[in-house]
Amino acid sequence: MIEYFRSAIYSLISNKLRSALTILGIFIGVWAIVSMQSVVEGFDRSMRNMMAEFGTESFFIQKFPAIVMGHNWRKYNRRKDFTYQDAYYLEETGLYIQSVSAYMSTGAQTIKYKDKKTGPVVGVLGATAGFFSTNATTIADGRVFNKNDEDRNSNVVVLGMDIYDELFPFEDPLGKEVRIGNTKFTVVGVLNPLPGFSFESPDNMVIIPITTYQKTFSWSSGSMQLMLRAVSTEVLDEAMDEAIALMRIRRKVEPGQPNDFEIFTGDSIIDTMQNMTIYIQFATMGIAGISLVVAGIGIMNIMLVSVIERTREIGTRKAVGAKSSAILWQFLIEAIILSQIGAIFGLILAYITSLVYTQLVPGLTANIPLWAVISAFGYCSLIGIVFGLFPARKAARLNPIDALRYE
Amino acid sequence: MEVKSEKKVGENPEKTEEKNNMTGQNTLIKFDHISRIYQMGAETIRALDDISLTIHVNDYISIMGPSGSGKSTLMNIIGCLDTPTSGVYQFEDEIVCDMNSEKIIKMNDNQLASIRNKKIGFVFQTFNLLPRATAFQNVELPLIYAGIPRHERREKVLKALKDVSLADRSTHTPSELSGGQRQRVAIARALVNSPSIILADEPTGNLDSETSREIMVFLDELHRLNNTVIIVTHEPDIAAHAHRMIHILDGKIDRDEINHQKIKNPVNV
Repeated sequence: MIEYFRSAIYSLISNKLRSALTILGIFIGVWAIVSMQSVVEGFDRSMRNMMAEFGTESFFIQKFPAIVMGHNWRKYNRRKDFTYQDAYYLEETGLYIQSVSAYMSTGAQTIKYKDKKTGPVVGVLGATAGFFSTNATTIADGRVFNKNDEDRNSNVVVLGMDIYDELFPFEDPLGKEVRIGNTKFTVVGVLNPLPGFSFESPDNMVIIPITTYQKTFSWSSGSMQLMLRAVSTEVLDEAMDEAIALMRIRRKVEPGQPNDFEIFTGDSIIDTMQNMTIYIQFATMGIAGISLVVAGIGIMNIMLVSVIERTREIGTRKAVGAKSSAILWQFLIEAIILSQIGAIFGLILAYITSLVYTQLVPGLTANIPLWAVISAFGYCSLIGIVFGLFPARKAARLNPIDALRYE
Repeated sequence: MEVKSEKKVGENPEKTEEKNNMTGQNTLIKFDHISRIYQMGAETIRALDDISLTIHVNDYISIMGPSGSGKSTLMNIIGCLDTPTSGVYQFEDEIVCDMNSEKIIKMNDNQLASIRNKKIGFVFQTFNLLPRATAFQNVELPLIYAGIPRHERREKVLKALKDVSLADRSTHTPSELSGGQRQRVAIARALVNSPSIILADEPTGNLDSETSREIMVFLDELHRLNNTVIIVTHEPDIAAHAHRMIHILDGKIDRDEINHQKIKNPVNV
């Protein structure tokens, strides 16, 4: 058996180009699946971390579910919008609710200061003054805006760390004027780095009072999101029940009717995300299966060519005493080794991809799960056996006389 | 060793046996009314037609005949690459196949492979070396299939290569060797498992006359060292190296004669 391995490896080495082309399909398949898997897992983990940072006493109310699937969107869109008055109402009325913040955001803005400007990629968040206490953000310099700023629609802005670094590398930003679009804003504070992740850094944003936001970005209307904080983790359930009851009354939901809004905790987002992750994993598995079957057909194809090309070799081997089973094993092992080498290279590239991804996306750590490694090898072996068997049988069944004479 | 007995076509096999015993020669191969019939569509081709033949240990035989005469089929059957349609083939004390008795005995593919591996050494016209394997690996091949452990193989391969004066070429691939050297590697491969018989199918067919002579010297030497050698050839001067010359025509043995020139001056006294 060891000899079969040795001769298989030897014959693969002596046909480097063909071997390389054969493993290409497996290689790409394994790479795509495993790196996708690693990113999905990393996403999952980062989400969990982010939610943990929000604190276990936080929960959210909004018009739309966290994830809207398909055609239900219309149904949710008919619901009544949330406003910042809802936030104040909840904060004032709720016994178990410590603070509430309403916020909405827009992306792709450019912030200018004198002759400096950021790229058109900055997120602008309009929030009530309660945002800073509800979200447990801390201020690095200056102050956050308050109810007063909000009431007067003041053009004040709190900068995220990235914006501060970019526009004020050598300057104290407090009291300076920046422009968002054509509107001037006075910088009142700078935030400490924020938790969370996305393709953009979470610190690549600025926060302005919600009223000012509505005035400035009147085109970006719609429902606000509410972030609520219970008095303590212990009374989270009570606080949520209270919020539901208050909102049903305020939005005049008839008894017996379902809520016309969504309420969820960080944990429930994680649950939803996990469901999503499972769907994505199933989908990738399906694609993986198909792509590897295609790769397997590639292996079969090239093995068949190889059998024909090596007809004389097979004849010679049989003439010097190779049993049919020996020929079968030789070709089968070649197919298996090819698929395994493909798996190894695929895993190596997937590992590199996960490293690159981790570097590229702040806060996201892509890791290759062990089960993916094991199943990659297992599945590739199976592919090698299934698609190597036919060519190997063909080789084993060659008549030695005809094979020896084959030109 | 004594001079071989002459055997005539159609001679009673039992009588031949008797004669062998009298002369003290051991039978290696016995063909008893062997035929090989191919069915090509509606046409029936009798490639071998009722051939009876006895080959003894240390025979040096050349098989001659025009193309299509059946000499290749004869070779294939002797070499256990093919099996006859009828007749009895006995190799040493084993029945390779017996199609005549009521209960047909026929070795299966694995048994035939085993005979080819241990008892027969092939030398082909086109050398049939594995093109990407070194001389060493080519010679090693039969030993691998015989399941001989690695260190033993190494010893045997190096000895076989030394016997064909190619000890210093063991790491060369066939493309790095001359035609004569390639055929010597093939001879080393045929010898490495110490077979009972060497079957050379047009061993010089692809070589120039100088190299042919060189190869024939090796085959003569093999015979002198008590090996049984069969050469299939259509070149009379190559055939003349043998001590017994069998002519095949239309699937039958046309002539089976002693090469008196050689026997007069026997190499192996």
